[in-house]
Amino acid sequence: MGKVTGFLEIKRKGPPRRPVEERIRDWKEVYLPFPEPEMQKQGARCMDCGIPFCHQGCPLGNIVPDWNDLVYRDQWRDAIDRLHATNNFPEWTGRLCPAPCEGACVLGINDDPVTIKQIEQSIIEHAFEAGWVEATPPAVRTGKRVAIIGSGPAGLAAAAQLNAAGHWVTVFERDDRIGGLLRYGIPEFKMEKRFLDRRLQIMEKEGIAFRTNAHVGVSVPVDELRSEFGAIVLAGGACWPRDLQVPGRELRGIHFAMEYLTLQNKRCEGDSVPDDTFITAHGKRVVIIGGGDTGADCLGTVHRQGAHSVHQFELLPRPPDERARDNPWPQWPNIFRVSSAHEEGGARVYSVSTQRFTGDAEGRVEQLHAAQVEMVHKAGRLDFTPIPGSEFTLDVDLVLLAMGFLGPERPGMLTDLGVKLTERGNVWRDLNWMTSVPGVFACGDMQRGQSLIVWAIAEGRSAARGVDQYLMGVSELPAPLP
Amino acid sequence: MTHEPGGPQAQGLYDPRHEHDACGVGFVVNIKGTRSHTIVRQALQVLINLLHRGACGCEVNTGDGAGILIQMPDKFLRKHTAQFGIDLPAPKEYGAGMVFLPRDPFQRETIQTLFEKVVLEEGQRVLGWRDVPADDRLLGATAVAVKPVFRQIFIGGEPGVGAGVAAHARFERKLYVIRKRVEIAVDALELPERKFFYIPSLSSNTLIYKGMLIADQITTMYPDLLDPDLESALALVHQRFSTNTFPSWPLAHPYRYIAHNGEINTLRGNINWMHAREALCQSDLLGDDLKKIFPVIREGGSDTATFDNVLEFLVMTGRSLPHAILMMIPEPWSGHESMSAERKAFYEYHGSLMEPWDGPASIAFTDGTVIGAVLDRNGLRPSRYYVTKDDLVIMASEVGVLDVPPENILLKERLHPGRIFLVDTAQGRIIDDEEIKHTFATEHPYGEWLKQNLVSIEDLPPAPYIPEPDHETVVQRQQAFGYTHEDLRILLAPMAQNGEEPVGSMGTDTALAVLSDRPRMLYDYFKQLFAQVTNPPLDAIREELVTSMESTIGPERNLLRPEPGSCRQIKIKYPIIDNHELAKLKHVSLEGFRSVTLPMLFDPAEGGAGLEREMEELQHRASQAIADGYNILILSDRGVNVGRAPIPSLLATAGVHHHLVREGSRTKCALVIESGDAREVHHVALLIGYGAGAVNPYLAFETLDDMIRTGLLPGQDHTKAVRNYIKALNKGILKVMSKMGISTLQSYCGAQIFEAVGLNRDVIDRYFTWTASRISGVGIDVIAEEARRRHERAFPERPVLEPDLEWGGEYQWRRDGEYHLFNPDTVFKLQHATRSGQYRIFKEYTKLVDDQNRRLCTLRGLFELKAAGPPVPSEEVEPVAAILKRFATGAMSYGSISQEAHETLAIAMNRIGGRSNTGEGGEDPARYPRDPNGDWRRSAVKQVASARFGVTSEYLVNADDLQIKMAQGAKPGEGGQLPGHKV
Amino acid sequence: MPGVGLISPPPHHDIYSIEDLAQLIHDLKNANPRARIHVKLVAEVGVGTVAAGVSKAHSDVVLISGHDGGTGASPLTSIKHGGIPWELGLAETQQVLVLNNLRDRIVVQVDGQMKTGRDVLIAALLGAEEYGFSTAPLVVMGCIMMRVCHLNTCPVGIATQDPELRKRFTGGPEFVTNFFRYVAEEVREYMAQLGFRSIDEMIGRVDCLDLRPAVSHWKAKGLDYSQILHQPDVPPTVARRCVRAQDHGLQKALDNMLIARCAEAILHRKPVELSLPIRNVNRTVGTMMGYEITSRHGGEGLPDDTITIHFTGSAGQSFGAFVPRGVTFTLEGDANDYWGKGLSGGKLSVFPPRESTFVPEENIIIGNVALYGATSGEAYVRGLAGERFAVRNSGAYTVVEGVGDHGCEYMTGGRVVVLGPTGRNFAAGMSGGIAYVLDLAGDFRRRCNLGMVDLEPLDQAEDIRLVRDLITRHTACTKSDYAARILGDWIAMQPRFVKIMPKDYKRVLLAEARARAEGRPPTFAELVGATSG
Repeated sequence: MGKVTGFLEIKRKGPPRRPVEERIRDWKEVYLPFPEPEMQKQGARCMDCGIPFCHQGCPLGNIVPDWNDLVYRDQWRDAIDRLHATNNFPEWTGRLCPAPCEGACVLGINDDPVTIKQIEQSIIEHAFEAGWVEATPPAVRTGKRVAIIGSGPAGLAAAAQLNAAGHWVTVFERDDRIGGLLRYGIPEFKMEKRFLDRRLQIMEKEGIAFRTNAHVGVSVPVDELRSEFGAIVLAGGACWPRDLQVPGRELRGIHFAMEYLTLQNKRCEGDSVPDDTFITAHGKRVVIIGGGDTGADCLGTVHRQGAHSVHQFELLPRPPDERARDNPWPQWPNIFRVSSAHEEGGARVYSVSTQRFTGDAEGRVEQLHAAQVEMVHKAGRLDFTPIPGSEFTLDVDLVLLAMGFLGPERPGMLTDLGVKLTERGNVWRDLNWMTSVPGVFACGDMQRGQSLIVWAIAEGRSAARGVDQYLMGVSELPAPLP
Repeated sequence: MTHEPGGPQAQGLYDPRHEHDACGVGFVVNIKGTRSHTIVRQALQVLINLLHRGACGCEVNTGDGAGILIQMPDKFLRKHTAQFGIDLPAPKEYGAGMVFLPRDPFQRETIQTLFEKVVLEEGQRVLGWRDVPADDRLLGATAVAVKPVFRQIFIGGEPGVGAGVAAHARFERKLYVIRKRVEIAVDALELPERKFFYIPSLSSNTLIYKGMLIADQITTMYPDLLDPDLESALALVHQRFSTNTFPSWPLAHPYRYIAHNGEINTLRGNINWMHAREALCQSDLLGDDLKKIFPVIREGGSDTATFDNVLEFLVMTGRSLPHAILMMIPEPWSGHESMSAERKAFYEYHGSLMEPWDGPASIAFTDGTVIGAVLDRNGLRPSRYYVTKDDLVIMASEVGVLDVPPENILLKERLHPGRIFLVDTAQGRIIDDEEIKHTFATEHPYGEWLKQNLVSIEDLPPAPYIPEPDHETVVQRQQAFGYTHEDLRILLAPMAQNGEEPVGSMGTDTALAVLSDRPRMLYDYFKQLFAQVTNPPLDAIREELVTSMESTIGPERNLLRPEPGSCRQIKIKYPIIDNHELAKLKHVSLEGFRSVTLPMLFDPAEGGAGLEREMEELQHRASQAIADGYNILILSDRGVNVGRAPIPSLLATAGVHHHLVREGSRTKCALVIESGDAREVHHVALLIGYGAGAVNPYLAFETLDDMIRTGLLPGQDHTKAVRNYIKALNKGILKVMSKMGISTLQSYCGAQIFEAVGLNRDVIDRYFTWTASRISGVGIDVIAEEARRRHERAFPERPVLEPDLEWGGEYQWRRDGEYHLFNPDTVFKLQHATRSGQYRIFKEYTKLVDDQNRRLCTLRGLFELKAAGPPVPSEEVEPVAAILKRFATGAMSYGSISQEAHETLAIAMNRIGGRSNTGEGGEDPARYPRDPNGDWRRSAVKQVASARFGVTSEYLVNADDLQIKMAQGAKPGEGGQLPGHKV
Repeated sequence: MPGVGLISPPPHHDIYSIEDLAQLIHDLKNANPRARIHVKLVAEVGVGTVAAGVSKAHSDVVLISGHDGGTGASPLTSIKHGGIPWELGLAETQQVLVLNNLRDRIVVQVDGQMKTGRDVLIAALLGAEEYGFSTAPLVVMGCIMMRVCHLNTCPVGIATQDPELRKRFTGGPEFVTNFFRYVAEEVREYMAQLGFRSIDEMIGRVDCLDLRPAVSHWKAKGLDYSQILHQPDVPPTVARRCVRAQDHGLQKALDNMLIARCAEAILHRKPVELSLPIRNVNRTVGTMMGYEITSRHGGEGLPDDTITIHFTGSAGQSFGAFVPRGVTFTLEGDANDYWGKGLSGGKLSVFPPRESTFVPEENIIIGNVALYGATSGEAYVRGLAGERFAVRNSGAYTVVEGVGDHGCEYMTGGRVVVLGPTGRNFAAGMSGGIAYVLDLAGDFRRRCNLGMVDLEPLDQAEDIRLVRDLITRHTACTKSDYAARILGDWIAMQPRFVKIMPKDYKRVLLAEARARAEGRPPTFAELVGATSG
């Protein structure tokens, strides 16, 4: 293990964020590089626990203590091998994952947890720089063909695994670029797209075929896939956004977050998006409804676009600064967090429920009417009751709805395939990750519902094993999830 | 109760083979050889004063055994045989035997007839039988229930047989042959009361009275002993403490030559080796009679009985009694700072004839003329003696056993560790250790013999060895041999870095090998035995001087004819050999040595049947190699490839060892194991414990090289890492030996001090003969399947992903690793439930644990509960408070856990009426009074451990329970160490 | 003493066989007749046989420990490969005890990774009446199975002595009591289901257990539990649980008479002096009287020499064991093993009878393992002692005229003066205290284990004063003319003394002295030294 007394001697330290004034003027990532020797010291804080709760906390089952120790001991080559063994895309999770591992870190019981996520990112970046991340096409091809629908992290993970197992994999993406939410959902300042492209090039070299603008069920008939491929993996995500069904919702200037973020991301990619289709916050009074990660992504984007003012609304009360009693370690700590976007400005308003919008004569949103609410537990579910007299009104020009997703879009592919859905509207699958239609598998948000990138990758990896097993009868692929 | 002579058969989990006994022993002798009845009386008094060292069973009047050995009481016997019409020849010309016989007259008659027939066949005369008066009025019911009939037989030799020393010895040997033949013949009879039969003694020199008695019952039982005509110049007595209450008359001491206080820890190995070397034995003295007495050791005897069998054999085939004793219980010589060269040579030479019989022992021995005692090498049993001015020597486990006026005492001494003490009544003097050993040591030029024949492995000519392959193939072989990342990181790296086995804590909560879903190494099915209570573990660190890791490999010769060539063997300092040393053995070309390498590989596709066939083939090849004159057999699992998987080297080693033992050729060769799967201490300890003379864990060496190459062993080079690693293994083996109380590698080799958990009868009987295995389990098919699964990982049909080792997860929890009962979920739920006071969550916790148990983590998980009757209303079940009184917390010392944690436990247990335990660190007296709020920080259980930390009168007084820690779960048979920083 | 490593030796130096254990049980029963004596064993094949021996040796409780438990530091081989599950050990114990009709007099306790009510239930049905828990209560207190107990870095303040880490401890007794109550409650639920009203009814009811066939498991399917569920064929009169107390035979002890005749001293501190004969069958003399004293007067005992008894004869084993302050025994004659075991402040001396003609300093007078684990007090031996003299002495001061092998092994405190030859391996594992050996032959170094000690000359005034003083007292107590001659020829003798000084101990003494000079308590770091961090 690393340094036995490391956790007692070294304090948690991560890379600094660039100054707010500087970073909101560009789209580059907000973090400054962190010197490797510093990172190694952080690795020394790992206690190499008998039960590494981080390893359990990570949906992928990353063997966190092993690579923490290797980093501490300057064994980067082994570290990346150990990391890649459980995670196909550490450069993405190292940037985007909210790090449930750190929430479960034993050191976090009474100290600051190990900077696991940062170490992960360092390992993979070190590896890329050293040229260790190369295309490794499989030695043996099975001749079987697999179609993967959706090129988000789940689909890509499944693709990588199945390709490694020797199958010919084609990834279908309805958008013009590969990457799904990674491409158009995640703002550039959280992850620069070059990190996505870098990996995709390797995957292509390994033999994975990518087909963009291929909307299965629309431009690509389902039957065609069924006949050409031995197996199909549905990894189309959960793109059906939750709407705010209040009066005035139809007013102009009220958009879903994804709509908004995608346009900016396209511009960042260098695409020309005409101003009349582009949604900008420039000079506007903005309200973001939804206090989650997508809300924060909108927030950062809004800042960079130069909004006049911005509010972020959240229905739930403000989380406590410390863990609540009913939220003990090693559960994910439900505490008040300040993301980089929050640091950059904007007002966070909690326990607020938007009740209606009013607009001007041209149908543009003008005002938002809301009230403070009280959260009550009623018959096992949460209920939010407006507090009488707390109603207020806010002048707005742009409203972004970042209230999460309800599940996969049903028309088209899912309907055509005839897969069974769960009560919550996700795609049903069996223990082998197969849907109700033989040979059709599902993973990622499409079967799980909206979730984190680590879950998506874990799902993709697990489904890949199911597919491999289905095609070959046996499989040596690992499955992090049951 | 079971009223069966000799106790019940093995049943359930009970096996009579584990019975132990210990005791008090003593003798009284007139140095000048003057016979008197007083000596007998005095010895009986000694016996009574040793009574507290014995034990009683479930009845107060049933003892574990007591007995006395005296010189042939000619006057007495002459008087008492006359009435039976027996006319005894001159002393030394007749033999008398005490015989235990069946109670059923017909069966008794059958045995007597058989006995007489054998006597005649051996050319001797039956003079008659005498009924021995026996009064069992004072005896407990259990002893009476299985009391045999006591008769003495008298056998005459040819007239004038006692005239010369040689002739007398010949007669004595005849009596020995007769006794052995009768024993073997009766054992073969289908008599229901066969177990009553036993011959305590049959000799022209000594006579034994013994039985299932308490010391003070012996004279009532055998009124003979009170007859003033019963005279002897020496008398050896023994009071027994056995671990059971089963009635057994034969198991009382003395045996024909010895009475013993202690235990032989290496018994199984000693028996196997002895059996193996019978085939090579030839005796000038016994000639053709030799075959009649085989097997030398009568199966089913106690360790003492077995020792006595072999001692008697050595004496009967020509060695003097003290010489034979020194062979069997040599003193520690190899590291002795001041021992003479001759004496060291004597021991070293005899070491190549026979391994020591190791264990704590004070053995008093006599042949009727000399009487003496020897103490084990570590001095673990007490033996004190007085010499009086009127030529008496009184030796016993204690002083004060016989009143002697102070002014009559010439000197008071004790037996020293490894020393021998002898009174020769013929010479009329005490012969001290120095003189005896000098005499034997200079009898032959042992030093010269050794110099000419014994070769040290260092002195063998060097030979080339196979160079290490590259990284890729190492990983492949690591996979084939089941290496995990954990093996590298947690086991090998610390050994290579520090030269020590790594240390861990918090016990183990993973699945037994037989319950694990993963393919496990065959080694994992074996558990190490360890000494507790009846014999002490050794302290190999602090008392290193009694231990020896030196050994010799090579063929043995005739045990009974010591000659220079008997020590034509190769001496190895440590049992783990590196590649250079192995290469030397492979290419050995010195006269007298021929080595051959036999592959331990099989085709994994053929499963159990294939493995079984390859094992047979291997055994056959071993036999053939020996027949062809090879005497160093190297079993090697090199050469694994896509079609060949390694046979677990433990299976191969034990299988070949036992096959050769059975065949009688085992001592003609050395077994050297070139093993890819052996990597940790337990592995090599097992290989040696099942007969390997030396082990070369080549893949571990290559793994170290690979780790150096990839930077995982900073600051190490090949030589240093290998040296450290070998050192750690050797130290570990020494510790495993010590835990069982075995001090020399020679005795440990083949001693198989292991228990199997989860192997079926067939595997045990065929390959691991005599190993305990009580819940059956997997067979050869599963062993093959486990090997196949490892092999498949190394040679996959369709390579998927980069080849990599498995995580392991034995020592640290890993998601893809072994099950642990305490895992993130259970730890979380348990803490959450008890901290938030929610029984509902506690039930979730127990469900997780119990389910995991049932998913084959523990034996208890496999149980199904059956109702004893209809359900009982909850309110009628005894209350929680009553149940809480039965709960205790384990021993955790204040040194090992913090004051906060320690006191929290104490307060909690005192609140609920349970018991917390101090652990071995003592307890602060400030915790004895109650706190103002009524809490009590005092631990109810006070532990008394070997270190006796803070064990004062006050500590003992402030206790409800005093717990003697004989062993602890995490390290049975070992000490512990609190580093200075945790004190 | 902080900073001085404490090593638990593998064996108890007073238990080398079953009858030795019987003796220790007897000693402890004498040391506290109210306490149950309890022997902890670890499950392995044959443990039942050992347990039967333990029952015959009059232990009140036997604990069968599973292989799986254990905090603290252990070699990994031992953690993984020593011992067997308690289910097997317990079942064997129950069977053998019942088979021997020895179960009626001994309580069987079991432990080893007990976690749930079901575990307790199965333990009861297999034959245990008491149940031990270790890991689970630790987890309840906050342990998260770091498995670094041996490193002193426990991050939750449980298995550590580091003051900073101890601050992180968050356990409370109420969590622990919750745990045990829940377990008990769960046991009750099972009992109700299975039709039991009391635990006593359940003990040894293996007929209520069945094997769940593991048909589907590729390995476990071959298991056969019939031996675990075997019930010995014994008459119904043979008890399956403890129903009566052991007979410890204390009524036969010489101490009953001593207590009666010293009542005034024990109760009212009035000095008493007696002369009595003694024989080897009088074992553990003085210990029960010690109990009477300590239970009334605490660790302080009585004023020095309140009770003085002169014995004549050969004393049995454990003479003067655990004798507290205020008790002075002289023994004219000789003694057996364990003389002065656990001496707790009392004073002992032994010398040959006046009529003897042999040379005392050349003859053995006491047996092996004398003063084992002595914690305080004084002891003078006119003659030679056997092996393992003053092993694990932690505070007694003693003079002896020669010792056998392994003298002062594992000693941690106190002072030992040896006026004659020693056996081999002197001072092995000695981490504290000081020994002084008169090395007349000049070859002591060869027989000393130098692993943890340095040899120094006797040249410090403080040491000289102490050694002279002890020899003087020895002479006074034992009338040793040999010792008197040494004192008489001191100038010649002093240079021939060797001082055996443990390295750890020296460091600690120096640190303490330095701190004292600076008028402050020594720091933790100073005491543990720079090397052992």
